[in-house]
Amino acid sequence: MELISGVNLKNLMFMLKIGLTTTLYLSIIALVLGSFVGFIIGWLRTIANEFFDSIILLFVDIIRSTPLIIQLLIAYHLPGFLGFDISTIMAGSVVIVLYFAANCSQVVKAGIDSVAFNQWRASKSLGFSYLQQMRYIILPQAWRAMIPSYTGSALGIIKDTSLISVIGVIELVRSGQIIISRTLNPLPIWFIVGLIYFIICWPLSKMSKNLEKKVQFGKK
Amino acid sequence: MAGKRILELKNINKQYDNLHVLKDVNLVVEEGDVWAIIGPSGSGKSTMLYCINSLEPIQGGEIIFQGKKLSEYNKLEIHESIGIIFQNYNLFPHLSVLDNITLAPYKVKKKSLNQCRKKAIELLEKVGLAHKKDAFPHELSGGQAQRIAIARSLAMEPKIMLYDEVTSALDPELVQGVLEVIKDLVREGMTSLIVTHEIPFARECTDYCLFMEDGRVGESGPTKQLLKNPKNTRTKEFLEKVL
Repeated sequence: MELISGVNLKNLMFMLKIGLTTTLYLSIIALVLGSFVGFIIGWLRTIANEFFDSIILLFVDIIRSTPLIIQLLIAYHLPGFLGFDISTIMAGSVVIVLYFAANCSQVVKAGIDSVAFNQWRASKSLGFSYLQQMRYIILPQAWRAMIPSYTGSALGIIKDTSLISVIGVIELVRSGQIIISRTLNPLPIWFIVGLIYFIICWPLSKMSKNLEKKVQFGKK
Repeated sequence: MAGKRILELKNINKQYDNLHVLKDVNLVVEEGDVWAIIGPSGSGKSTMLYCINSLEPIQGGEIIFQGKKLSEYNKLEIHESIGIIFQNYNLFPHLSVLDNITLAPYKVKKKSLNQCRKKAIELLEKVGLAHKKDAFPHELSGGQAQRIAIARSLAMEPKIMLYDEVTSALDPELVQGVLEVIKDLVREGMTSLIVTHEIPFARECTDYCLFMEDGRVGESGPTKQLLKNPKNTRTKEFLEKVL
C-alpha cells in the first residue's frame, strides 16, 4: 500500500503522533513561557540600575553566546552529576524555554528603548503613572518595533527544537531518522519533515506580516 | 491683575552633574499673569519650565505652587495642574487626535469617556481642528500638531500653561496659527509662562518679561518697558540681535 518506499500510513502516523506532538509541545512552551520570561527580563533591564543590569546581561549573554546543542547536552548530564532525577524532556524543555527567553529579552529591551524619550516626558507631563505610561503610551509603540525581530526568534526556536534529539528525545527530525533507518529511503521522508515545519512556520510568518501592517500608525 | 500668587520660585538651583543650569532663579507669578521668558539658547529657559512642572528635580531653593511647596505635592497632582507644551509637540503617534486628547483625562482623572470626548471636541473646535479628530499625528502639519498638543494639555484643565519654544520647530507660515491659539488662551486669563524667540509676539501679548542668561535672571519687569528700555547691557545686546 505504498507508492513510494517507506511512505505509508504506519510511518506517517508514527511521525505525526510521536514526532510532531513533541515538536509542537516544545514549540508552544518555548513561545508561551519563553515569551513571558523574556518579557519580564527585557522589561527589568529597562528599569534596573547599571549593576543589576550587568548581572542580567551576563546571564543573557551566556545563553546567547553558547550553542543550544551544548546547553542541551549539559542539561542532560548535569542533573545526574548533581544527584537530581529529572526527565530528559523536562531538562530539554527548560533549556529551550530559557534560550528563547534570552533572545526574547533582547527584543523586548530594544523595543522599549526604541520609543523616544520625549514620549516618556510628554506622557509624564500629562500625569500618567509609570504603569499607565507603559500600558498606554510606551508598549503600544514598542510592540511595533518588536514584531519583526520577535517573529524571527520565534521561527528560529521552532526549528531549533529539533536539536533536542541529541539527548534522545524523539521529535520530528528524530522520528524521520528512525523511519529512514528502517526503510532506507531518506529523500521522501526528509521532504515530508521539511513540509511539516513549513506548514507550522509559514502561517506564523504570514501572521506577523499582517500584524506589522495592522499596527502601523494610523491604519486600521 | 487679581494679585493672588499662584507660583513662586525662590532661589532655585538646578544641576546636571557638573553643569550648573539654573542659578538662584527668583520669580513671582500672580494669577492671570502672562510672562515671556527670553534669552540666548542654553540660558536655562526650558530647564526652568521642566523644574516648575517637576519633570526635573531641583537641587536648591523652593518652588511654591498655590501656596504649597512643590515637594509636598504628589507628583501626579503637579502634572495635572501645570500644563506644558513642547517644541516638538510629542503627540502619541499610535493614537488618533481624539484619543491623544481624551487619554489623560480618561485614565488619569478617571472621567467618563463621554465627558472626555465632549470636552475634546470642544477643545478641537477652539484650536480650529475639529475636522481632524480622526486623523493620526503623522497626517498633521507641524502647526496642526502643535495646536493638538495644546488641546491635549488643556483637556487636563491646568491652572498654568508653560510653553517651551512651541513655534521654533515650525515652518514660518505655520507659526501664526499656533500663536493665535495661545493669544486666545491668554485673553481668557490663563496664567502662562512662554519661552519664546518671537519678540513681537511677546510684546503684543505678555504682561511681563524675564530675560535669562547663563542660568540667571538677567532682568525682569513689565514687557513693554523691558523691551523698550532694557537696563541690562546683555539684554540690550540680545534684543538687538533678535530684532
